[in-house]
Amino acid sequence: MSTPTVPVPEGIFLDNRGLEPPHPMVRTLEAFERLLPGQRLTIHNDRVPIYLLPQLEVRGASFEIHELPGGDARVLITRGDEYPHPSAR
Amino acid sequence: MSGALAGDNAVPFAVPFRFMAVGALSLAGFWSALAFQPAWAVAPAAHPAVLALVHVLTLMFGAGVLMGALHQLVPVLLVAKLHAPSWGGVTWAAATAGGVLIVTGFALGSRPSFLAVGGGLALLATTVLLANLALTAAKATRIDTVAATVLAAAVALWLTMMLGLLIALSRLLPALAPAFAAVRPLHLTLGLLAAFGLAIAAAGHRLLAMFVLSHGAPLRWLRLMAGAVATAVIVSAAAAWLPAGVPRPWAGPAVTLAITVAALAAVADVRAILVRRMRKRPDVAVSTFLLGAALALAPVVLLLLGRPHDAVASTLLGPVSLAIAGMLVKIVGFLAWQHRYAPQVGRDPASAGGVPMLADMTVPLLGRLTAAGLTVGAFAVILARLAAAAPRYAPASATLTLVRSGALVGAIAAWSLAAHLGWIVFGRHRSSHAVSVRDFAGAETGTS
Repeated sequence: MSTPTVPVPEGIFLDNRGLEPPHPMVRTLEAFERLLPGQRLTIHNDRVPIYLLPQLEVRGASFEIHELPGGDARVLITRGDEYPHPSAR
Repeated sequence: MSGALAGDNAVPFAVPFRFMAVGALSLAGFWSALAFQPAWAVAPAAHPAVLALVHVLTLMFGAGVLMGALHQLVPVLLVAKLHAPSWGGVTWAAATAGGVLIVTGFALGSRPSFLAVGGGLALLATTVLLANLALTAAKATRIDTVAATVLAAAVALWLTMMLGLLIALSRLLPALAPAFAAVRPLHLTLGLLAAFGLAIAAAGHRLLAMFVLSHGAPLRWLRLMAGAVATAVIVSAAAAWLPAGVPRPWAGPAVTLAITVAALAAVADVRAILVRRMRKRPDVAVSTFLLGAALALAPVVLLLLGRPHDAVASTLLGPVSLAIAGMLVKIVGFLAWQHRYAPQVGRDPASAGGVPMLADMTVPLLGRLTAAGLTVGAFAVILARLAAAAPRYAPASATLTLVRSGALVGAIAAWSLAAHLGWIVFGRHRSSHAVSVRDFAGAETGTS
């Protein structure tokens, strides 16, 4: 986990701050499913979304977590090539 | 991805849920037993039946739920995966078997062998848990105040079990009795204040802020509370191990002062979170937790009035039971959602209209029954205990009727909680989103 440089959002950006769980996870996974292989999604959450990570792993995503001062976290999520896009299933 | 988070070792839902299921059923068993035997509510504290009942509440409900929650909460607070989720099964089996043996041992008239074996199993359970948490903490890159306080609560729970075993051994081997005769108050202080108090305050600090959408609450009140609890424990320990014959006139007032400061700091911490909240109307589970926090000062009043046993009873029946009952619904709800519905989000065509959310999984009526019933039951028992201390003004029959009525209401409340958790975990929920999650997500999605 790297700190404290704030990554510049690439691709789709979701600001999930100020939402009650599990809304941040729902928003993130909904957005993730619309990504194309190799496309990136950046999320900004109130904290490290530790329960989201297993869901991303199952879906073949790679991710980088950046903890920010104050407890916020930005996560850069990249869709893998092998996980099928919903339109292809 | 950090090393602490790498690898597929997420905590299975069954690990915490087993503890919480046994805990909820134990709370229901406690109130049901009291409804059948109301005299136990006003019997002397050392009566075996009272000790059996107290351990149903402390060991099987409070400590059980705490152990289950620690398996999930500590990894979240430390941002590190639990070292060995599979150890949770050993912890649960040893804790449950130990709890059953201890309660049975007391119910049979304080059988020393039952208590010693049960105490040994309970200590084994907390030892495995503590090792699991310590190895998890070793992988963490940082441990903040909230995480440190929760870990301190886990250590206090282990020490409570250790002292409990020593007390049990002194029953089995009378030669040891003089050495451990004075540790009972410390066993109580550690368990009630340090294990339950610190865990509820610290977990509450993080979870309450999360569920009422509060940011920036200072940590000073939590630190003050932890310091006051540590002071109470140290003074109790010093009083327990001073040589016999040495007067300890300072011990009682010092512990009372520390407990008063701890309770005030806990209430101030909750207030600091609430004044910063964005969600103005908390749901019924959070309201139940807040009701418990609001009652945290009642035991202090009883303590200041020189009623320590009533203070203990009111702590267990009021703040501890209500805070745990409220958080049980939130924790089990979130974990069940994670287990049942998170894998469907965005993937299952049937979920295109939105998977059920937490509000769709809960039954507010059951939540309100739990909160109101536990509060009524607690007040009835405490009032009855106070009345029993003044028999000139309250006949014994009226006192027992008050306990029985309150316990019946408490039993309805506790069974409502168990039914609520059952519905949350096994019920068929339907999404009630007016706007689909897909639309909701899209509204604030931007590209760069």
